[in-house]
Parts: sequence; structure tokens; C-alpha cells
Amino acid sequence: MSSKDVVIRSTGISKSIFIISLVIVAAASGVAGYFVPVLLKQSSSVITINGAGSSFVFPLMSAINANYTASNPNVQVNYQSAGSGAGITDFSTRIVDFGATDAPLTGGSLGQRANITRDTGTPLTIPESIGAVAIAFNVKGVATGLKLNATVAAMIFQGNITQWNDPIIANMNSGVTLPSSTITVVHRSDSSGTSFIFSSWLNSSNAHYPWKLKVSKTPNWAGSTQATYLSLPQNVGVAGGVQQNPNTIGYVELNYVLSTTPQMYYASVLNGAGSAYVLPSLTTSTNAVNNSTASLPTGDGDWSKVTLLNAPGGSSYSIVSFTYVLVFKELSVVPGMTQAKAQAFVNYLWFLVHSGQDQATKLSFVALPFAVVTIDEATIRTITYNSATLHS
Amino acid sequence: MSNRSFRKFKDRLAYGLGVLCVVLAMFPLASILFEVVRNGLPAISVGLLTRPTGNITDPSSGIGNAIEGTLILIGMTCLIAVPIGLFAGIYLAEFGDNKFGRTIRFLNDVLAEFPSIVIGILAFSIVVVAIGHFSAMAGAVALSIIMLPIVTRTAEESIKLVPSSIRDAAMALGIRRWRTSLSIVLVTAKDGILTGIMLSIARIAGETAPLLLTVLGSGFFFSGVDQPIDALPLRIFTDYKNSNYPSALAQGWGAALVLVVLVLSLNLGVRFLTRGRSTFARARA
Repeated sequence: MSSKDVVIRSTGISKSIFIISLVIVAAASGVAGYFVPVLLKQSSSVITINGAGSSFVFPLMSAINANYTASNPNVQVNYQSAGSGAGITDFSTRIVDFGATDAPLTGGSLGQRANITRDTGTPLTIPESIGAVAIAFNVKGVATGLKLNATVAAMIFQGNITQWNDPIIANMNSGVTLPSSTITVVHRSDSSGTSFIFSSWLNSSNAHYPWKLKVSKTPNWAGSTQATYLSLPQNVGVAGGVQQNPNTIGYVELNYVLSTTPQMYYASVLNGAGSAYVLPSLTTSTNAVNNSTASLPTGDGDWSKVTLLNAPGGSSYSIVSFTYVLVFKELSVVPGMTQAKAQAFVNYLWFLVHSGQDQATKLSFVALPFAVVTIDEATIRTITYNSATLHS
Repeated sequence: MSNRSFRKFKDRLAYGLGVLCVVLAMFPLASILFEVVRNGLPAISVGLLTRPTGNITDPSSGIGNAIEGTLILIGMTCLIAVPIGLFAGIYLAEFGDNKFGRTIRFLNDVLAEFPSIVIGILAFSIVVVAIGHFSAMAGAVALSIIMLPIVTRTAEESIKLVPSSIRDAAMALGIRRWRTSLSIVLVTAKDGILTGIMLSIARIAGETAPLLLTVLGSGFFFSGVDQPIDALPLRIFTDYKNSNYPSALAQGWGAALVLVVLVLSLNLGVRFLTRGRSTFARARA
């Protein structure tokens, strides 16, 4: 009854007044919305530099950035772990000032983007840390001493081997008592730079047992019907999946393995020379970079061919790779960039590859070797703002 | 067994099953509250609540920036969603008894059920990409789209509950239609409207998906509405991913406890405040 009354009582005048007041409110909030940021911006003199990408380097970056702000209070470098894939996308669309990724840019991932051309935005690749992937396992009665090579690991991870006491594993691990249990393979459910590095290494398996599930941030796990899989997100998910379930094997960033409690067990891996089984550690990872014969390109070159996998040297760990920061060579292509911000940004990058590396070891990250720092220095010197260099 | 005792048995059985279902329904809530308090309370300290995150691996880092960010986001969201939702609610209640009104009401209900990640993608493409970077503004736009239908619907329902005798009295005194709506109907319905606003705040305070795509997160205190900002749900997610560091684990549980307390106190506050105010309003009327 009341709703009928409303219809009868409503008149044209009150309706139009209502609509006018609505328009006024909308306009007022629009104007306010426009001026609030302008006012706030004028009052703040702090320069904020934003970056996003690789989850792996997040703890290291957060430590380096806090240190940088402590000595440069008017510069805040904000890095967030969105994942390597998001890091490349956000960098390419220039909604962040820099990206970070565990998998290098490939020609395609930039060439496909119409809004990036070589003329306006040459991307620079700056290796800023080194990642190693550990093969973690949880097998009853086997604490340490499990040995693997790329071929056997590929067979396990794609299901050619499904039992822990398979003769192929047993031959490689004489003296280790392996149970007659089914192997459960724990892998990342999310798109991950760690999956990319690990599947790259699996791809170096023996030609008789090739890796069939793709080298990718998201390998084609569904392509195997023999293996028993457990799919979990993030390093924390895979680590928990291995620790909480018996007879499991999975791959986790070395940094995570070294800094987590309770302690995880991880395998020794055959070195590139084929002479010994090497446990992953900060030292054996650094050895891999120092002994690597890969010729490193300049910052504006193609880093997708660079591999630190299976590096030579008796005590080099085999599953090692760079993780990179991505910046534009000409910073004026980034929206909101100013001379002052560009200068602060380049100073920060210089800090990142020098003093910033002091944070690495205590957080179980591998510090950049000298040879790589030299290449980074040359790259940072080429960064310009409106064609003028920022670091001499 | 007599017919009577069998019926008694059936009664007891149904009663027992009912109690069991209540216990089952309460179990998740109780276990969440228990776990959050058990792990979160030891982590809470003045330092944790007031310091910015900065270095996540540093035991002295805190969640002050996330608490501040969540409060700022709530404020900005209310600035956008409350006026629009309120006026939309007035329109639907007072003038909405026609085809257009019914369409708006239906669309509003559809919007209320929209997956929040889709709203995040929308805000990403119309605000983040347009402005050129992640910002608190983009997050507020996304959250206000989630808040808007709730405010609209509760405002409409509250206004409809205002007795038509009050409108008739205003009309009899010669008060204009717009004045009746704003000064009499709205004031009478304000308890219900306020409840709706507070409940919608409780809803958006815990939203994570739309924030991932819009505000990015930050390790520092607020530095402008056009800059990335931190929020409690984002902080919890980042802390979870880095929970191999004891400092991050403590921050995550601390942030979870703060968020739960915030949402719970909003819900309880609504009940407490509206109870007090409605008696006041009744005494005045």
C-alpha cells in the first residue's frame, strides 16, 4: 500500500530536484577526487620507486630496500612479490618502475607487446641475485645422502620411475635403504620462475629418457599419467607438502630450504663434469657462477640463452640460475618519471648490486660474484633520462 | 516399544541432530578464532602495531603500514560508495516502484554477487592502466564497487521500513517532497543505513583479490593516494609466502588477529550502537 502511495505522491519537481542534487554530489566528489591527490603530492617530498615481480628475491629486496631508505630517508623503494610473470607484464606495461624475474626476457615476450618498441623502450637486464633449486625429499629411513642426476630426476618427475626402490635409483644410491613405496611428486601449482629453472635442468637429461613435460614456468604436469602428483602453490606450499607427506619429492628454492624450520632434507646432484654428487649450498652455487663458461651479454642483449645449469668444476651445484631486475634504458618512457626520481633510481640500482649484496649471505642468498657486478656497472652507466646519462 | 516412546525417541533424535549441526556449523568459526588468537596474541606488541614493514626478515619490523593502509582504504572507499549508495537507495525506495527501478534493483543484486577478482580486473584496467601505476585510488575504486550494492540495498530496505504515517504527517504540514526525504525519512532510517555501511566496511576490510591487482602493497607508510599502499589482507598473503622467516610468520599471525578483531568489532559495534540509538530515536519520536 505504501509503495502505491509513493507513486501517487511523487511529483515532477521533487524528482528533478533529486536528480539535480545527485549530479551536484557526483560533480563535487569528482572535483574533490581530482584535487586531493594534487594537494597530497605537493606536500610530500619523498621519492617512491615501485617494483614488482619474482617472489624468490622478495626477502632479499625487502632487506636491501629497508637498508637503502635508512641511509637515504627521502627515497623509498617499494618492491612487492607478484611473481616473475607479473613482474615482466607490469614492467612491459610500465605500471611499475622496474620488474624482477627469475626467467629472463625472451624476444617474444617483448616483441608481442605493441606498446614496447626498441625505439622508445630498450629493456635492460641486470642480474641482481642467484637462485639455486634444491630437490627436497621425505623418505622414511633416508635422512641425507640421496643422490640424483638430471636423467633420473626427469624419470621420477615425469613418472618413468614410480617406486622409491626402483633399481635405477638404488644403483645410484648404494648403501641407502629405499622403501618399496610409491613416489609422490610435489610441484608448484602457480606460474613460477622456480619451475622454469628446474624444468630447464630436467631438460638436460639423457637423450634416451628426454624430458617431455615442457621447459616452462608452468610445466605440463597433466601430460604424465604414470606419476602421482601433489600440486601446491608457492615455495611454502611445496615445502609443506614434502614435509607433511611421506615418500614425497619436490623442488624448492635453496634459500627457502636453508632458512626454514624444521630442517628439510635435500638431494646431492651430479655435477656438470659428471665427476661427483654435489649438495646445494651458497658456496657450491657461487662456484657454479664463477666456473660457468657462459658468455654474459651486455645489459641490452639477449639473456634468454644464458645458462648456469650444469656448470663445470668439481664442486659446482648444477641447478643454478640468475634472477634479474628489468629496467628501461631511457627512463623518460616510464609514466611519472622525473629527473630527480630517475637519478634516485639509478643511485639505488648501483647500491643494489654493490653494498646491497652485503645482505645476501645472512639471508641465505648467493651474493653476486665480482665478474657479474662489473657487467651490471656497465649496464647501469648506460641508463639515461631524456638522453642524458645519470651515472658516470 | 509403545507408540509414545517411539515418538519421544524421534523427537530426541531430531533434537540431537539439530544440536550436532549447530556444533558443526560453529566449529570452523571457533577453530579460526582459537588459532588466530593462539598464534597472533604472542606476536602482538607496540612495535609490531606501529612500525612499518620495511625489511620483512627483520624481527623488529611491523604491520603499522598495513593497519594504516586498511583504514585509509576504508575511508576512501566510504567517500566514494556511501554518497552514491545512499542516493541510489533513496531513489529505489521512494521512486523505484517502476520498470526502471526494478531493473536497477536487479542489476544491483547481480553486482553484489560479482566475484571480487573480476572487480579487481575492472579497476586494474580502468584506473591502474589509465593512471599508469598502482595506487590507493585504484584500490578504493575496486572496493567501492564491492561496497556500493550493499549500501544501496540496505539504505533502500531501511527507508522502506519508515512508516508512511510519518511521510503523511510531513505532507500534511506542507513540507516539500525532497525535504521530507532528506530531513525526515533519512533521519528516521539512519540506524538501518548506518548498520548497512558498517557491515559493508566489515565486508571490504578483508578483501584481498581486488587489492592484489590495484594497490600492489607497500613496505612503507602512506605516501599519497596516487601511490601503492599496504593493507592487512595483502600483508598476511605476503607473510605467508615468506613464512620460513620467523619475523614474517609472526607478522602474518599478528596481522590476521588485527584484521579479525577489526571485523568482529565492526559487527559487534553495529549491534551495540544501533540498539542504543534506536531507543534514543524512539524516545525523541
